[in-house]
Amino acid sequence: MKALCCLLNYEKYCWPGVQALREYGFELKMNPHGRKYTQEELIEDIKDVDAVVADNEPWTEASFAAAPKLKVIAKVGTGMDNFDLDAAKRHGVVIANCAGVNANSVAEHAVAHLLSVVKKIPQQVYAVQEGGWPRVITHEMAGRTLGILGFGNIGQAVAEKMSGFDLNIIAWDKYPNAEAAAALGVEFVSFEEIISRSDYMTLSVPLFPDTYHMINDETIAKMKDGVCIVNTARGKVADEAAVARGLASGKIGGYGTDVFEDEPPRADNPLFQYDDYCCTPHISGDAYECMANYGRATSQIIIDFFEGREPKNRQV
Amino acid sequence: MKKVLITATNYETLCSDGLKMLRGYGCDVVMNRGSRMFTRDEMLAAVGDIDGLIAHGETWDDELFDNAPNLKVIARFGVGYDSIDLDAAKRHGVYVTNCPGINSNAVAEMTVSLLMALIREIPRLNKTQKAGIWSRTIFNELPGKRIGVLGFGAIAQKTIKKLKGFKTDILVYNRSLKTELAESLGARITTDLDEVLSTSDYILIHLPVAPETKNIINAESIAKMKDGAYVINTARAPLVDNKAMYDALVSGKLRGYATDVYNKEPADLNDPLFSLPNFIGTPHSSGETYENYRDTGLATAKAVIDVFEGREPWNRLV
Repeated sequence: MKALCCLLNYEKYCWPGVQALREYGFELKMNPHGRKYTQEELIEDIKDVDAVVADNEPWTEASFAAAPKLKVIAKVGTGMDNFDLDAAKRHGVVIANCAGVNANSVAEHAVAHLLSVVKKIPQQVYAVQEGGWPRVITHEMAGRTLGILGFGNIGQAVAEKMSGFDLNIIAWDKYPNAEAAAALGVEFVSFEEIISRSDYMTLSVPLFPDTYHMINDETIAKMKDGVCIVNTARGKVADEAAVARGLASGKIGGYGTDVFEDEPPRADNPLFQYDDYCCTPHISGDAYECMANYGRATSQIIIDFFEGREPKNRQV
Repeated sequence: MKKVLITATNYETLCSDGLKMLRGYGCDVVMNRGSRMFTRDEMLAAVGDIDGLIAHGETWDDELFDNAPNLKVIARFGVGYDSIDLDAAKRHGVYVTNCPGINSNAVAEMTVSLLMALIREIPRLNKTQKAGIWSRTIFNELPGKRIGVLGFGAIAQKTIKKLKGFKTDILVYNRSLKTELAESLGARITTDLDEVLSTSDYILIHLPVAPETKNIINAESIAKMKDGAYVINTARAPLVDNKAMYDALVSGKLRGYATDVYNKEPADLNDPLFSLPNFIGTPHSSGETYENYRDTGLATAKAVIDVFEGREPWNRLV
């Protein structure tokens, strides 16, 4: 049997997965492109594969149609927005993801972004490097309000990490998990409330039609002046043009993000001109521990499927 | 009317509560409106008729006290008082106070911020991404790793509290074992410095400068550390031998160093640390918060008024 590993460096960092799949008898092909697969490249490489370890490449009707032997996809990460799930169903392909595996790494990255924008760390580091010695005065976080939008595995991990900072932590979720909130001392509030009450906001919602551009001119206008926002979810959850206007007016005091509306972002992205905009290249889950666990989880999905067991976190 | 000189900067803009208190008491307040300390000449010109001083880091010696015959109290805006000759103050009958502890939350927040920004390489990745480079790197996660905390004062304790949700194992080095307090914060405490150095993945420095702590991070102590450890210094520059730190960052022995403090401030860019991508430094700004200014403004105003009123001021040094 053949499997394609679309995720870059799967062999190097997700080695437990490579080991398990080879032991099970798979012949593995790795992504040779040094970047995400394009649709055309993908179609070329999936003609004869039985299983795929997927990253964020486009799984469209055309992709599924090009892979007649494909039976199961193990998606690295959680977001399913690169899949046409109806097409998968039509072609009888089972897809499962690695929900929860990256939660700690992504939450640590969200916290790193939050602390960096609130304390203006990059701005101060660059100033000193350039021979400056500015007196940058910031607010202390203790006593302020952190709003977590999307209280799944990642949102909960952010709440846990920030639990020692003497913050009031509030959360919003379409499907509120009251038990998890109570255990973490977090209060669920309405969407209107979280937008208007938060001094700091972290975004950990999936990208759906109703979360597309959830951060836009209208919602930004209702936020506190100087609000700091961190996005480790999906770029399209925020309207980048509206974020740029918020930074230009000073309404948004800081914006830290690991994601962009288009990835990689264009070098002339207008957001890049703002010192209070801080970005990293969609890297929040790239931790040794997380990658090794991805290897374990993705290989388990594929092996479970071929053993006739229901794979964990099955999406279709 | 009592005349109070304030050489601490930003008092007017950031310490309005303290200023109100002084004026409410009836003080004639003269302020340093610049962004730097007074020079010696400026001090000599300004202190002739003052009764109280809210001080920046200006040097106070017998000569200056001789020139300030009415002076009754110096309230140091902040903690460090090495610039004030306390014996000379005593000889001249001047009270000196400082404000320890007020900045501890601000510094603790900065310590965790520098730790996270360093290990997630936020300044470097932001810079390369804005230059159009989609750069890849790989991190380690914190759960299960050991954070070694050198020192166990107010800042160290607050830092440990902030880290409680990070699922790390926290080991404190301190000369005295405050076991109960450490345990209440979920940490273990030891007097064995070598154990902390040799078993920690991340080392946070929260020590005072003393003969026995000067250059406590040097070539010898770095050699004892785990390969790939990170060091964060929000305490004082003389605790770290920068040459040894540079060598360790270049060789890869240490994976990163973040500091808020320098032997010379503003920082000397000729220090080779500045040529390294795994070094980050902020401009001694850990205490630069609105809340710290507000609270220190109030504490210094109250100390000055207490002395005028014949009351014992908070945290009197002499």
